[in-house]
Amino acid sequence: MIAIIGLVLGILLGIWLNPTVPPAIQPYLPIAVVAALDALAGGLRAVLSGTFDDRVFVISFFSNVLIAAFIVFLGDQLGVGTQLSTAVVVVLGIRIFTNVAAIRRQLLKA
Amino acid sequence: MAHKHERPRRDRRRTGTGSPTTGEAAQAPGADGTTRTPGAADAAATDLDDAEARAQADRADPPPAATADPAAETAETGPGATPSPRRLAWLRLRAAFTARPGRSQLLAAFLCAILGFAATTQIRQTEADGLQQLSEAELVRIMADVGQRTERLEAERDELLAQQRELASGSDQQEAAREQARARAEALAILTGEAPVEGSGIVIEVTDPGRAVTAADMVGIVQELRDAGAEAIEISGIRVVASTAITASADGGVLIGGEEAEPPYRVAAIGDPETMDTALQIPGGVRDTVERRGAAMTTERQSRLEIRATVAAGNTGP
Repeated sequence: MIAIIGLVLGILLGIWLNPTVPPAIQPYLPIAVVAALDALAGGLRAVLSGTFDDRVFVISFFSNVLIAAFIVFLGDQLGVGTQLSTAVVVVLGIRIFTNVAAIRRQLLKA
Repeated sequence: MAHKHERPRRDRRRTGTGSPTTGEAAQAPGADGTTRTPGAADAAATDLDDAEARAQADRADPPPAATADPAAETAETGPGATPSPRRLAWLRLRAAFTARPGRSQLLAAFLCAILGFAATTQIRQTEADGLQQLSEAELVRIMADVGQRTERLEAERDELLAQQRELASGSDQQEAAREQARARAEALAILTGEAPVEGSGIVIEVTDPGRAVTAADMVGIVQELRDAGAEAIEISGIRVVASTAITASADGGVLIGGEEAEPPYRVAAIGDPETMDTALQIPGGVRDTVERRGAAMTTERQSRLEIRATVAAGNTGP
């Protein structure tokens, strides 16, 4: 419950503060958001299967974000930034789908 | 298919461990020797065993997931589960919702807040950036579109400009025609005596004490003035136009358009003063004729003369 409140709070904060993204992290923020979404889906799935562990959740959240951002950064340095960004998004998207599918099976058994 | 074999065992074990709402978890040592941290015993995370903890870690973490993942997934779909796993999942969800805000809940909330904040920021950014986010190919396409649009609009503009020019020149012509007509109407109004006239001209004073000047003499004066280019003539306050009759009255006086004119006659004529004056002074002309009658005639050139008398419009017929 409090997690949902936190999510809403963050959204409202983003709307209210309306910050401008510093140019340095501009290419990484979208990827980081997708990675965080993946971690969130994984966490929810863990809650439903009764295996939720806050330590694992925090670590997976940040490692997901950092690794995704790092891969994009590396891609930028190697001149294949666009392709690697796409690759990361695709992988994360597949993982999100897998996690959501697991959640769906757990909740609806369908 | 190895997973299939594993499934029932895992399910049995979980149901044996306890209900998800107990809030306490048995700190069972893992098969791989790892031990769980105290924080993991929080809130909804209840009937964990280490194998499942690892599976969860694998799910939430990047790549090395493949090992335990499919097993965990199939575990929930198995038909042989004794206390419906679906119900279990709902119970866990409810437990997660109703749990008092512990450390893990707060952490999750914090991370969710970060995610929400970042997502909103990024969405705002994307909305604001517009072109910046687009790839080169898209930019080229947009540029081509804009170029085409520009061309189309320019063609349309040229067309409209041409149309405008046409209309303007048309209205110019109309305006010129109207102007001409107005000038013509003005000239005609002057000639027909319907409008008062103002301009340079001469004033002729004919003093005729013996009333010897005849209508014919007056006609002579008027003729002479007309010959000299008089545009408007007035005799003693009566406008003289083409159809104005100058006749003799019964007692030998002069009738101008039927009205009796009394001497001294004052004749005003608009036109070129010099020409008219000269025309009147010609030897053997009007002046001589009038003076032979014993009358005196003086002319006065005026650079600004006004003839106010008019003939009613439509009253100029023969």
